[in-house]
Amino acid sequence: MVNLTIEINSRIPIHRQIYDQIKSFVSTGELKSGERIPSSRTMAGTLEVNYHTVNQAYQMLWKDGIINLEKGKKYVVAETRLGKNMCTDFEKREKEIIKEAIENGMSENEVLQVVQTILDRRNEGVKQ
Amino acid sequence: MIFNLSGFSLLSFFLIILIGIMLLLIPNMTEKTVVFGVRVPPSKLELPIFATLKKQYRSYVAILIVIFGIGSLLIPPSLVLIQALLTLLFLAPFFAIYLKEHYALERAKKEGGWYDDVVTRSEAELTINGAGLQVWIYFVPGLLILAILFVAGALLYPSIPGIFATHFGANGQPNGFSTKSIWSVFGTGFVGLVVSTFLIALTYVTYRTPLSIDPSIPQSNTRLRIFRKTFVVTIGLILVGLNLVFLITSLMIWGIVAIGPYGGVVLVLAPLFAILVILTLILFRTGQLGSNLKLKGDAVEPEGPNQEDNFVRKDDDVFWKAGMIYVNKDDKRLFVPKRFGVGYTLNFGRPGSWIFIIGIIAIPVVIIVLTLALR
Repeated sequence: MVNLTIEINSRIPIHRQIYDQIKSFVSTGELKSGERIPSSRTMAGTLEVNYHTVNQAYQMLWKDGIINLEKGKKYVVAETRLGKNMCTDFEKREKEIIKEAIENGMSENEVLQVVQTILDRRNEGVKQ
Repeated sequence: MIFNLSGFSLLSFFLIILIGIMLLLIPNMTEKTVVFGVRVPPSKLELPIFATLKKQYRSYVAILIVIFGIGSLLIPPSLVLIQALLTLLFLAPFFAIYLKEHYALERAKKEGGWYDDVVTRSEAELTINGAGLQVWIYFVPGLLILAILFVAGALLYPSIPGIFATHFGANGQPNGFSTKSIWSVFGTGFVGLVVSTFLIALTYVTYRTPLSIDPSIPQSNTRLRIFRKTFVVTIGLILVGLNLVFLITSLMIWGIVAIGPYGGVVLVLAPLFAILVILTLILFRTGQLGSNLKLKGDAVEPEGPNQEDNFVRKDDDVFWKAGMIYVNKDDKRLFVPKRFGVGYTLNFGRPGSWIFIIGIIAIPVVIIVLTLALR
């Protein structure tokens, strides 16, 4: 049960949102290797966005070895060591965000609380 | 066809009542954010226009049912063609009523700028909820009936006379005869086989289609999972109903089931009508995409400021002609969920949809050819 969510009016480009989410689903194991994902034209239909936008995201995912293109234009999640890479990548990005938050006057407790709230909310979502 | 066309008087009466009731129920079965084929933000659903239009729709359709119901009984049996066309004619004014409400709502939406002050979000399935369903199980009962037909036919084959009745009048008297052959004895069974194959193939193609998700609807994933199962169960039931009709028809032809006046019509149509009623109840309880389902945890309101609750689904009206016909070239899906009704409709942006329509026409042609071969 994995959904893709796109904020239409976000400053983050739509293809980037698609890329980020699929990448994170793979790293958390919600998308397993060998699992099929909808074709770019199907995804464009269900998300009601331009087909080229989805294609762009899929191309990026393919280049990064996150998904494979199989016979018959079927996209499947690739076998990757993304989990490990993701962890170091996550730590690096988190360091920057926390540094920025504390510089802007957030307390350590507040940072922890925000992270906890996000995790809680996510767990609720998974249960559903 | 086992009954004479004069039996259409009763047939069209019951059909009109049944279809009429289904049409009356449609506005209560659609997605919560689609009213008369118009996408609406949830915050606007409390506006008085919705109750007004729904009430108007219901009273107009009720009048239609009364006029056409009485009409079907009054038309003399000699005007067979009009009797046969009455059910089709019934749908024309119904569409007029639908279009009236559709355009009224569309106007109100445009004038009110309903999507001006909302934050939209697109959400869609990446993996399919309910994809792990053991679909074939739901086709077993229907296919079993078909198997009984063929086994019974094979056992009875030696005892069937060289020339036997294959067509009966509404009064139960035979008025058409055939010489004995594999085709004349099993003809109805072969029709059943073609229809069953088509329905099963159709189910496998549609039920796994990825769907959009409405972020304003709670527990969408669960709803879609149950909806998919309901859809497969529904097709399984239709298969049972149709194959029962084919089995009873065959038993009549083989002289196993004797029929009195009008007995043929009643015996053949009773299971079909029973299944249609059960079907309507099941579909109503589930609703399109599970919109009528009462789920655990529905009553619990999310606490605190949950930003995610303010998002509404992107307005997708542009892809829907008259709120009913889906045309989207960028969408690879051949089947998408209906907007006014329960189930799926074609994507006319795909060439495949036209091939499908031709296929739909081809099946009755095959049936007619087979029926002629029977005679």
